[in-house]
Amino acid sequence: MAANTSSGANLTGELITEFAQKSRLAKTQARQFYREFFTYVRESLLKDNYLKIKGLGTFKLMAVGERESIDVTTGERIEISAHYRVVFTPDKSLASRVNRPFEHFDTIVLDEEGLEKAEMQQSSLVDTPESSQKEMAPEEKSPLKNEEELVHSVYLGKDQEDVLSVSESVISQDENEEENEAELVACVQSVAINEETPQESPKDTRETTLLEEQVDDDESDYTPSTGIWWNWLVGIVVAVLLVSAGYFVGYYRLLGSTDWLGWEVQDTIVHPTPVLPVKSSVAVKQHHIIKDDSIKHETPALQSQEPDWKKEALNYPQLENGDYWIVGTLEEHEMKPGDGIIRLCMKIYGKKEMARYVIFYNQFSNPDNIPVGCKVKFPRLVPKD
Amino acid sequence: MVNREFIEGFAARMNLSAVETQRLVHALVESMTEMLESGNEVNVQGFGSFEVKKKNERVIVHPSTGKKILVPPKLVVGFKQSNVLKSQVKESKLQES
Repeated sequence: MAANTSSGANLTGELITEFAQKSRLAKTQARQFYREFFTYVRESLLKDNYLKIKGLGTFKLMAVGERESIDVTTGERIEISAHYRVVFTPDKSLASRVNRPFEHFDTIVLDEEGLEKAEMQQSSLVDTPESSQKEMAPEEKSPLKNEEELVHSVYLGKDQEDVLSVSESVISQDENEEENEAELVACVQSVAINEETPQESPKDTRETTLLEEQVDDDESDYTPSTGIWWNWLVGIVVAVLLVSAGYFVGYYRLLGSTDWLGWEVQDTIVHPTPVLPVKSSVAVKQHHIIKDDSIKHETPALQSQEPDWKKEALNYPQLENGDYWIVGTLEEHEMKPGDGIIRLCMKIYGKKEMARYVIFYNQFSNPDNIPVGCKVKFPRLVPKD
Repeated sequence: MVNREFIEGFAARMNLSAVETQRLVHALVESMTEMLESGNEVNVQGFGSFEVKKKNERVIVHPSTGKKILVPPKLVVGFKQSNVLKSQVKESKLQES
């Protein structure tokens, strides 16, 4: 090998060794093959201006027009004539393997209205208290100065919790006021991290440490040193506050008289109940049904005989292990951007638990990702006695 | 030139079967991929270097929907031709015309 920087020679040596091992060639043969390979690559490329190698990628010769430039030594105007440039595009398999540390990051649609929509689209239907806490924590802090800082602080985290505390510290330590996109990034990034499953966090730890080594060292100078304990404390305090807030919300719900917004559910129910002459037994049963299901829309048909729900339910597919019968469609709703099944269930039924009925009724293969404009049928639910 | 033509031509050059050269090329490519995966660059003397570069995340406006989209960060493979290759290409193309 010609004179080379020591690190370069070692790397090539490593490559040859690895190649020799894989190909079961002697080291000298391997080196020979390696050299011949790239020679032939050049020759082939010059022949057709295009060369595709399976597993590696595509080499192309791109024509570059002539342009004026400055001679570096004399400072005079120089004309660089038209020539060709060797351009390389990696193969899909190569690209995805190299990008493995980031493979779980999805593109996220942002909205001017802010974080909420981004969060909703990113998070799955079932929002765990943990993930909602983590989403809310950064919101309460002052915004970020620099997207890049956050991104790098995110890499440095050893696991999800660390990542969040680091990003929190970035936010809290900063003094600048820059709204919108930076905040969005903060929130969305932490949500993106949370999307990774717990089983994968050991793998990510390895990969994030790898990144730490390779990625520009000056940027990795950002490490929370003194502030880290304070940040943990703040995180815990915030978490405790949120848990207690969540408890109180749940507490009111348990009482049954209000829905999650704290409004009197009766108010919204009362309207549809018409003032019609009706058998008292039916009225009682109606009331009973409404109170249980918190269905605020359609009035059940006011027949003079008692409706036999169990019989009616035979006409429709039923959810196994459910406490409610599905007896027809209550309402059809066209999905708008930002709509979620759970939120709509709260609005329509007053209970999130009904979501699984909705999913079952509509036969959604991917309830987390229902396209905008899709018409979702909300079933009429009647409690099983 | 597609992969098949390349392998056939290279096999003839190396006096090996096409199947064998494909196997060897695959092994070489695999070794290069592993190097790149671990973040190291692959420097081929007289040809060029393949290195892993990080692309930062950025906010873009989606052309058709018009919505703002956050594109996540990613690691990509970049190639830089060596000066030797540049001059070889130049010379070869000059000879053609």
